[in-house]
Amino acid sequence: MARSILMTVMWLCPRAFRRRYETELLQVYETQARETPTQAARVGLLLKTMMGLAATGITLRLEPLFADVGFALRQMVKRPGYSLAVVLTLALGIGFSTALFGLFHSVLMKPLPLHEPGQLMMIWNRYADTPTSVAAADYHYRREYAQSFVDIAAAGAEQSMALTGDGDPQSLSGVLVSANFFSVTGIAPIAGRGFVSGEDEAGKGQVAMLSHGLWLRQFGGNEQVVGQSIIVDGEDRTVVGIMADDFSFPHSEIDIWLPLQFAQDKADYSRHGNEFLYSFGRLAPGRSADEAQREINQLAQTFKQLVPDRMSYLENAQWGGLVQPVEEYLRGDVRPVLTMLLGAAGLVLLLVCANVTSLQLSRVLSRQSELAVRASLGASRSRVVRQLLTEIFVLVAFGGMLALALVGLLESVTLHLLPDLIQSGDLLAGRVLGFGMATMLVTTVVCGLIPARRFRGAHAMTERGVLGGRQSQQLRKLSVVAQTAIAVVLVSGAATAVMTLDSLLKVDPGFDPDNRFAFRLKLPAARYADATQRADLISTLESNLTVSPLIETAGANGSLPLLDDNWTASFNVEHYTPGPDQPPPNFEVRPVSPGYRDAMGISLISGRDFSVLDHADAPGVVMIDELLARTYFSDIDPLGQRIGRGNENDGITWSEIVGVVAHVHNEGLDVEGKGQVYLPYAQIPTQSPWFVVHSNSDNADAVRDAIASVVYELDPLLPLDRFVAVKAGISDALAHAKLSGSLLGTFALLSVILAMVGIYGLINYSVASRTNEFGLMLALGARTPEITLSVMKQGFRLAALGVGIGAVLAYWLQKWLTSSFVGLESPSFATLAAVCAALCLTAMLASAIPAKRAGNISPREALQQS
Amino acid sequence: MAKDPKSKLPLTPPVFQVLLALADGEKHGYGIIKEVERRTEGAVRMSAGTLYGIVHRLRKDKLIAESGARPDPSLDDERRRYYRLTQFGRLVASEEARRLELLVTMARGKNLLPAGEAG
Repeated sequence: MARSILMTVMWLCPRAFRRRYETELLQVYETQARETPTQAARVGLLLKTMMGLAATGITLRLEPLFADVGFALRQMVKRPGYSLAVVLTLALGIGFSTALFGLFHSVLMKPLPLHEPGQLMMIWNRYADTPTSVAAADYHYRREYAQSFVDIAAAGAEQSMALTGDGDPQSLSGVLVSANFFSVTGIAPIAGRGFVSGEDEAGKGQVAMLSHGLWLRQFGGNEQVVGQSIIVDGEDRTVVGIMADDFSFPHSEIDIWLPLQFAQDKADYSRHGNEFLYSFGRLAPGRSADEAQREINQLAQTFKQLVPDRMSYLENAQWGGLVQPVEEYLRGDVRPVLTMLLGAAGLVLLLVCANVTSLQLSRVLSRQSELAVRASLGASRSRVVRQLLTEIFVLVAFGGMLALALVGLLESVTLHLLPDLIQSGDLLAGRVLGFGMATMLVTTVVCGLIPARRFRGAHAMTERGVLGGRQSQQLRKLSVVAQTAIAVVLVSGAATAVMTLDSLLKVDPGFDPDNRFAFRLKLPAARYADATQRADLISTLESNLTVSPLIETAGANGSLPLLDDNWTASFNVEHYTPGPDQPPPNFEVRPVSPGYRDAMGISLISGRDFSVLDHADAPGVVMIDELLARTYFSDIDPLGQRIGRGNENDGITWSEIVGVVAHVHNEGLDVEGKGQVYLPYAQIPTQSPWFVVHSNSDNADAVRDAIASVVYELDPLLPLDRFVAVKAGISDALAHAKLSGSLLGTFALLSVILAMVGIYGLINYSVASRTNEFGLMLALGARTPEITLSVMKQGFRLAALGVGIGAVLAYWLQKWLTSSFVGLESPSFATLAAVCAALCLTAMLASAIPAKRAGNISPREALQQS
Repeated sequence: MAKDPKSKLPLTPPVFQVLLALADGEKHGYGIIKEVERRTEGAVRMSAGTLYGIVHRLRKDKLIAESGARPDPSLDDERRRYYRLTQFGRLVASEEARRLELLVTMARGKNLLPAGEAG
């Protein structure tokens, strides 16, 4: 028993040790054991022997490793340039691929806070290919008839709500949801219950569900709040539950869920009203998304029959339904970009491996005499291979440490540019670091084993050519050509991204963002139910704000450009009849108060601004933007013309055009947008208007305080919702362009460095293996510049081939990109030519150092070596 | 190979004990353990695992060697190997002893030890 235990532990020791001492050691142990009187003492002796043996084994195993590491460190110091090149190359490759994996991981691989999210499908309406929200009738109809779903739930848009009661009024981000909402998501509250059937009927559901964040923030994490009453938008509601920490659906950062109460009878499908609901369903067991899509298509056909007055319109607009996996809805638009970047990172890592392998190969070659000596002194092949692996491992370890710093740096850059994309610590999460370690391991094995395989022992080392087979030389040339081509593609891609960013910076948003601040007001429905009340409040606030010495002008807008949802509506334009297959003209629409245009810095092109005379009872008037004016009134003066809302059957409400203003980028700097219509706020007083103030100061805090006190004076229970600098909208709009510009730029730089290192490595290797040849040439009278030039030519030829291929690739790729993405600048030949020339020059420089060395070879030494 | 014995100093206590055990003649593994135990009055009781780690290293550094001479087979188990101190090993052990002596002298000079107590 003890014997077999000891023999097992002995496996920790090297084989030579075991062979030499095993018998003897066991014998000594047994003698000792025989002389030990008690059983307990014998167990103690066994343990002590085991520990001693284990310690001996581990020490003996680690000693040569330490020696190898020490030797590798000395080798590193001996060739600082080489080591630095390898370490930097590795750090860039490992760092970038790890950071991108981290981005990919945190954005696309984090589990969604929903039960079996793969079974959940968003169900949209669509007009041709454009998805939109659904109407209550659509929702009820599908819920009643669709067999592909276990159940379908609905939610409204995110809206601002006021929580009043103790302390200052709080502005919350809330959403109205159907009673089955929580059961369809499959997520139960951490305390209390979800909504129950019937709570979405009018007058029955004075209940509320709190988010984890709101619960902690506002109620100190006290579970007693369940069952208590709170006041939301002036109405009493009973808290029925608290959701888990990460749950926020169907919008991000929701504070509170309230039951959605449908005004319309569930079974009345004839009124196809506002399409404002987000609906989603859980697939029935065994049903696929495709089957569900087919069923929703069929239901759309039958539904149209039920709304005779809308039927022809829906037909013409190619109305239908669209099923989209919830995962795609939540992770949506970044997936292709991130997947592409991850692919690029993988490619870069591959190039890094190729380069380091190539560098290491020439290193092995230049050290052939040293390695041969080691081999002839009795070092086994595996011993030399281990030494080479240790050397590369030490380089990889240094590279890995630098890479970690790089990942940290990239994380803070990403956090700065796109704070919504990731959270602090996401790129340094355990799994991401695991990925980094794995890339390090792979690099060590690839970059260590390939050159080590070339070493075949003492005799082979002395035979010329074994180290650099013809085949591998061809492969390395190919890799250099490929690297140069990729570098051209990436550099011209980066140039395009920078040009796009530059052109975005030059886009005129249509307003002046300087010294302009905006805040949102949420007027509680209970206290501001009446439209006149709201209109009066906004009007009073507008004049009160300008009394403050900090504020020059102020005005309200239903939805702020760039920072809020875009509102669109269909209009009739007098004297314009759309074709039979065309939907009515659709414009961006904003209700604004008289001071808004001035406060926002939008220029008036002709006509007049709104005034206090355009009140609720005054004749309908509108201002339009220059784009609408150009499109529909190209040959007449738009002033005095009319546009209207409604349809032929129910009657059209016409409004006179009184002013034409500049076009504003409402949706994004890269989105041109549609024609725009401004209506007097007094005639459409929305519940949560934005206010814009033009200040004479750029001190946001001071402006905010000034505004808060004015609002408080007017209504102390009114929370000041979001407060932003209008400039923030501009920088948000630029953030994506900045990130992709900086990422592509860095990749491009990286690829150029890699291509340079690749060319350098190849030429260096070829010079090292042709030492004798150059020596002979010099001895036969060749002159140094001739040799140098011929070596440089070799590098140039390969680079030129790569640049040529890369230029063609880059041209096609960019042509495709500019055709698929709006707002991208198309590449100019001049840019492409400049990129190509720069890369050729870089290639020449990279081959210059080894070329110079080739020219300076001493003929005598070279010939002696052979 | 003329190596400097001082390059091996200082020795760890168990290593020095093994060298001491071999100073007055060759011994087999078990003999070394017994000798150390006897001389330290049972304070140091080495396990076979530790001993052979030390033996391995000392042999590699050529401080000890396997002895060719064997006692009469009738008196001894054939499997036993005997170890002896090499010339170099003896030098190293003396250097270590001198190093320790110097330390003891210094300790005495600082009145940490009463004169004549050592030994």
